[in-house]
Amino acid sequence: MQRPYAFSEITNFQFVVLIVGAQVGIGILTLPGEIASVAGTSGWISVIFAWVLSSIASLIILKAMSKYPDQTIIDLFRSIFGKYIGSCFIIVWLLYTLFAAFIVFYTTIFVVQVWILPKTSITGLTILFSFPGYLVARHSVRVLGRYAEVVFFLTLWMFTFSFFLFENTYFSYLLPIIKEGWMPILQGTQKVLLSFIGFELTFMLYPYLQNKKFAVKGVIIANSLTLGLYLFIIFLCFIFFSPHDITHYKWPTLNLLKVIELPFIERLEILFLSFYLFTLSTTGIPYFYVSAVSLAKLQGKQEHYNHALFLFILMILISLFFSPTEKQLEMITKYWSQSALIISYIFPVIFLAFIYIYRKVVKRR
Amino acid sequence: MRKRLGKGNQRKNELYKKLQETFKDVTDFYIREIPAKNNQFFIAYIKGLVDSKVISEFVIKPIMEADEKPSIDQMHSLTYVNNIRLSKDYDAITNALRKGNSVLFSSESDECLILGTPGWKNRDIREPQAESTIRGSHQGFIENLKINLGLFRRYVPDRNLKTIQLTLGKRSQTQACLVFLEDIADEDLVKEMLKRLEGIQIDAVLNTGEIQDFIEDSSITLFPQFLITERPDTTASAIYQGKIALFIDHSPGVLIGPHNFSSFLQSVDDYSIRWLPASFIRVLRYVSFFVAIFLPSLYIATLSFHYELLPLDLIISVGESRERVPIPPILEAIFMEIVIEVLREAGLRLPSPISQTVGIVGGIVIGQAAVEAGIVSNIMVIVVALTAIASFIIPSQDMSSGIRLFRFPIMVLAALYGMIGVVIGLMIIVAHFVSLETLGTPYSNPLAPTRLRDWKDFIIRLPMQKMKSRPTQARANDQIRQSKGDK
Repeated sequence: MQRPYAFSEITNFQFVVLIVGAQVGIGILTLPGEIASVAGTSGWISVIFAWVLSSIASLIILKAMSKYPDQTIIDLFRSIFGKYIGSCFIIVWLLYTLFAAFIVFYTTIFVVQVWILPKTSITGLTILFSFPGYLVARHSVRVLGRYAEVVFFLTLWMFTFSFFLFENTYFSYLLPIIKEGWMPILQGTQKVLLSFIGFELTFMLYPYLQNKKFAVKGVIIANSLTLGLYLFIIFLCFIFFSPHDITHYKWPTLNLLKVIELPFIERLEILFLSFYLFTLSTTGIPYFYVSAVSLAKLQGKQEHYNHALFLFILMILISLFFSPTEKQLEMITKYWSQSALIISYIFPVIFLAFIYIYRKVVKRR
Repeated sequence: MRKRLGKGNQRKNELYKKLQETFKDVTDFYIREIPAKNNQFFIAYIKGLVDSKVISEFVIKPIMEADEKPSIDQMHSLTYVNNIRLSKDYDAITNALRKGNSVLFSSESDECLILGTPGWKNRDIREPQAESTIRGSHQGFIENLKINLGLFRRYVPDRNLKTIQLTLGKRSQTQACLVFLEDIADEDLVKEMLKRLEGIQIDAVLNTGEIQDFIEDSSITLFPQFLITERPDTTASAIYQGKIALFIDHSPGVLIGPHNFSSFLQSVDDYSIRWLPASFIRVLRYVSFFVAIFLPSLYIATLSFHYELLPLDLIISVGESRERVPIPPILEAIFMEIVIEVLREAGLRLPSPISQTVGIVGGIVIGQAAVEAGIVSNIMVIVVALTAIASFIIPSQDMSSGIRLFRFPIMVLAALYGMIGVVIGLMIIVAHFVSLETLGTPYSNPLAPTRLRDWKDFIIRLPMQKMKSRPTQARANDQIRQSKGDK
């Protein structure tokens, strides 16, 4: 059989950076504050727990998908559940990814408005962000992968500035480890799980991966890279801010940068946050891509660029009539994150079990 | 139409009349009658396309001196012209005439001899002005396909070298030649290239640049996707990488593909000097690439949105220079950028003594006067000068003129959205950049898809002995350049 996705294969490295890109996003700006308020300075243990869970979930997804190496989850929905039930699943998947894209989009706009451009309208920023989004999302996974690679290299330099911070750090802030028992840490894990979301894109990416043997290694590497980055930022925040201070900041990662002053440049966080848009784009664009593809598949179309255009026009139209306040945005995020936890961590288990049963039934016939 | 009629008009045969009819009102067409013993010969040619010396010495003279009555068949062995064929086909005869051949026929036979006697003035072989080097070879292609192929072949005596002859342009019938190494170049790429070339349905092809528009993967882009070079050594190096070159008659530019972005920032000199200075220059080029695109927009973004980015001392000195300037930074920048583009174009078309004057008048007088008049600030003049110089450092003319246009939309973005606009501008460029392909291979290679093996010759250039494999761009069949044993 001709492999349908061979025209757009992605390399091992593209597979990894696509997942890392989808995982690392808004979360990194708020995560240190959030887990500090729940789990205190032992919050980093929660991150490791979350990493274990997300790695297991990714492996389960791979296990399920490896039975059908030439089909994405959207194709699978149709071929397993039939046309009508399958379409219902696709719609759920579409709504999920669309909301993910929407939330990333609007949170980005919100952060930008708070930190850099307080007077620019939401519509103006929506139009601006739609251009690069559409340019990438209209193409195939291969282009998404290349984009993620370029962004990966473009954003590496941002680490160098962390060296300026190590002067005023106190490692003693981290002690004592596990001072309030395990419960707060487990509660913190729940928060961190959200920041690892993005690996569920494996459902879409797996058929495109050129070297299927690498998949298991790939998801583990991707999750570990994300873990490493999160641990690095969290440790940096924890040893820089006092355990009490950190809970007061909404975006502690950005506050870190405020401290740095170079002889020729001040307010480094403006530069940083602007450049961080690249990282945010690799979180949002894959979701836009997946929604556009789902929409196209619902209509039975092969090409999805018109649908991508439609989605971005939709975003601009929404921005004309609806400008979410911080509270509203948090509410939408809260509802979405619950469904995200279900789709990313629980659904794979059910899906794998279903596939096992389904294959047995089909074989018997 | 000039006729050299002999006495016996009745002896002129069918072909003579036909030719006279076809070339009616063509003033540079000649038929010369050659009286020989017992037989009447005619030689037809278009003056200016043929070498008259060859015709008189090697065609007419032997006929005159022949003792016997020569027939057309015998003429085969009598003339000293090296490229001869017999033909009866009238279309072939007239086509041959238009391409600088001459036709010899007699009153007795239907057949005639097509003699390869083309001769026109060729330019001397000189160093190409736009691609001069310090250490590399100083030969450049000229306007003759055969001579160009010869210049190039001296670099590639490989027996796998294939040269496929093509004819482009319905009316112009331009000779073209597709060149590649059969055992290295990817078959699919060659097929794809041929397919695209055969798809060209235009009346005339005058220049390599015209071909480029027809065969590139995406026309709506500022990035060039094929290299057009006038250097034989650049062509040879591309051929050895498994790339494909297209030579076109009467154009000194040779089109080479697939060519990725990073290759446009390489020059022949990188390989003729030692690797450390070469790497340094490479890095400079990449920095200049970004400076040429982003410097004016960074200036606009900082001044109109984020002056808090700059420390106090710097703000004060910038503020002082802008004190008397009434217009906003974006207008100031666009005005100055347009002035420098105009100066550049004006200097390009003029003879060099005048263009120097233009440079001095434009650069020094206008720049200084504009600052004193309070139209632009000093810093803006510096910014504009830096961008212009940065764009000159890009070795490829096509790439340099392409990226210069990027900065205008990004300046507008910077004026509207500040630093966010600049970053989104970069994002749009990256998004567009990664979606580009050249002959179906990724344009952003080796950055994306990341091929670390090719990074030896990307932003820096490692010593030659480290480059053991061919670059992946052209999907060369034989990957090995240096086998493990030898160094």
